[in-house]
Amino acid sequence: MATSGAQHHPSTHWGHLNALVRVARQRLSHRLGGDSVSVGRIVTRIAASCLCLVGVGFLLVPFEVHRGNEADPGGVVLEMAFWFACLVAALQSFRIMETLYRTGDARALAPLPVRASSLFLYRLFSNAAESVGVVLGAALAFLPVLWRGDPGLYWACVWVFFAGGVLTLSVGFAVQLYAGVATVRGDNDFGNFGPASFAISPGVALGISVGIILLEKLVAEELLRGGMTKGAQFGLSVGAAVVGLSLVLAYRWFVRDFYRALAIFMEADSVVIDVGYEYFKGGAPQLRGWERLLSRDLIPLVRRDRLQYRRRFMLSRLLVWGAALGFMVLLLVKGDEAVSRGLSMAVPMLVISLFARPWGRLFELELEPGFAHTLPIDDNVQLRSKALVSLRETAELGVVFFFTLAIGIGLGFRGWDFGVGAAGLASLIPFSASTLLLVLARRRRVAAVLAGLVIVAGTAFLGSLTVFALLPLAIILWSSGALALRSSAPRNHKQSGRASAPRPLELDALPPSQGSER
Amino acid sequence: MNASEPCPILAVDGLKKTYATVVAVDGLSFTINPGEFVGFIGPNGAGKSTTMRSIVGLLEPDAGTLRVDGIDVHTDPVGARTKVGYVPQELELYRYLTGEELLRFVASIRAVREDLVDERIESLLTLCELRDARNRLVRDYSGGMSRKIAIAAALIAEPPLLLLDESFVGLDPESTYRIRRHLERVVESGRSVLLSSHILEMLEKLCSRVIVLHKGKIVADLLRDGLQEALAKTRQGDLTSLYLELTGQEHLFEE
Repeated sequence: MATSGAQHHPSTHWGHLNALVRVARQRLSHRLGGDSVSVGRIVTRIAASCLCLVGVGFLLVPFEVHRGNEADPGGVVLEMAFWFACLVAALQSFRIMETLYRTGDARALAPLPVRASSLFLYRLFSNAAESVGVVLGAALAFLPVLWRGDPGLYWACVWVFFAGGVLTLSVGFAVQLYAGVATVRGDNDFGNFGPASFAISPGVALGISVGIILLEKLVAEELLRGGMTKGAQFGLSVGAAVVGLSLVLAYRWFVRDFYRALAIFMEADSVVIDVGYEYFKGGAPQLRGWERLLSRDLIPLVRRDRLQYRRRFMLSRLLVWGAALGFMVLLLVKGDEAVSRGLSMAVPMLVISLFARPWGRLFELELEPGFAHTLPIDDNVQLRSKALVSLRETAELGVVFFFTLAIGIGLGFRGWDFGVGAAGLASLIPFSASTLLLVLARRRRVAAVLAGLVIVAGTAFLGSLTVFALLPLAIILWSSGALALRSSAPRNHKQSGRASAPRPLELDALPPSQGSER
Repeated sequence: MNASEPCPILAVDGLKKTYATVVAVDGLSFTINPGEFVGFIGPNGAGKSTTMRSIVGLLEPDAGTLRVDGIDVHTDPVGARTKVGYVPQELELYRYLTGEELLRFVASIRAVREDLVDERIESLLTLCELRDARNRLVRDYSGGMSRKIAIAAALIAEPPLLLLDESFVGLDPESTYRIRRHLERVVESGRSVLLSSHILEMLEKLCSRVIVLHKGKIVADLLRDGLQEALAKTRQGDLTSLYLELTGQEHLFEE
């Protein structure tokens, strides 16, 4: 028998890691446009993003109410940094789950004999690189603290971001790999959840991370008070121990059981919605709730899009709920000392943009198996369905913010009349803005992100002037989005409310990410 | 096992896999020896893809053991994968790599000797008629081209076992012919192929053995001699007739 062994050299740990890093570089280069990529364009985008972040920082960070004292040397600014770090930690936790188990990269690599040790380091490095970007972004947003002449406080905030990033990375890896191991072995409480433990694990990781970030915030306060006290040393030691132990355990679990855990995850994650079922089933679909307002051809598509979005991004919605409740607690406890009016106006938009982003994600989902393209479904109806579901999801999340903000502001510090009014408008902003972002997200992701930041900054700015200034903003956003959405509909199908002849979707009409790897 | 018997390149023993309440594979056992070209046939949902995905470790079986060249897939999935080239039915490829970059990446992961990489890539791109498309991104490939680059990636390390799940779907006749010829040479060199396909005429000509799956169980496992004998007894004397009879669909003859 001819074996291939003679023609191979033994694969090394570093050989695999090199190959993975090289291929990541190549993919990034191709994504950016390969040889034709313009360095100037990239630099311009980065510079624009940095400026936006600094601008947002100027508007959001409540410097004017920073009254540091011996008892609370970090004051409101450090408090803000802590909550911001928690927000970033939530994103990181979810992202770790995605990169470990779900991305196209994970699926493309799955059948290959990649050494688990190399893959672990590759995943850790790639997540760390993303975390560095996020930490730098947060540090940029807090630059105004430095600008206003308080370098000690600024570096304390940066420390909280940095510690939050490192802790969430290590704890996130450990907990989410433990969930995988537990599912494989099924011999403990985590394992009893079965594949659901994968969905629970980012939340558990976040809870642990937030606890330790709080400790590191206390360390920052100790450092601000008088340098390296015993308390600060203790906090640093605990943080370092948690990071070290988490990474060691994560490595061990990854090498031992990652591939089996991945197999279980992929099986659980491979459930898809039968897109054509309603279409082929015929007959009048049983209408539920708002479906009575929709045209008949839209209903199956709306059901499909909504189910896909809700199942795929279940955790994102939970994170929005968590953030809304957390913000309500902050409002109740700290009142207007910690939270500017601008911030309270901007938080719903900021949180929904960061976590849920239905206007973008609905177009990114691999919604249709191939055969759906052959069904005589009007492209225009497809677009309308996605737009409607996006608006509905955003509106539902807005309602969550309406109640939490109304309670937080009304009960916390401003009275019910102001609370209800402010909450109503603040929760209306994401709904209105999502229409515009929906259009932008279909064209260019960067444009959508920048527009989102501008909207957040604009909201904060107007909110800090007067709460009623938000109303015109909401109307402008909604109408410009609606107009843009209307003008982007395929012209030859505009008149049609019924199914048209089968026609493949035009590639130009798809968002850049629709063909991307999952 | 007798010392004179060859060590099987694949040994599946008691494989069982259930999806919710659906039993996809029900206690499957078979072995494949070096130099065998095995056709894997059965109706949709018979358990072919589930079996193949389990062999590569992409599915966690409920029960049973799987050994590739003596390596337990359960305890050493990476080791087992070094022995298997797999082309799944639903392709998962790096879409933002060019065809050549993809092959170089797989070659480096599979530890193909550096001095052989260029030669292998050239020969596989020629085999798959992708020389002109070598610098195009995989995302810009047609369905057939994507399948061909996936086949090339599975072949590049010349693994002792090839698992091809519906790999000829969407290929043009010329490519099908070239790849078939290549697979015959692969088997002649002592390596093994497990090919799942519904193109029964092709399997009839290519395979030294045919395994028929139905409802997660093996209903026939025939070597070439036995196969010819069995075919002679069927209504139309071909593999399609045998397949229909074994899977309980004789009524189709009457329609």
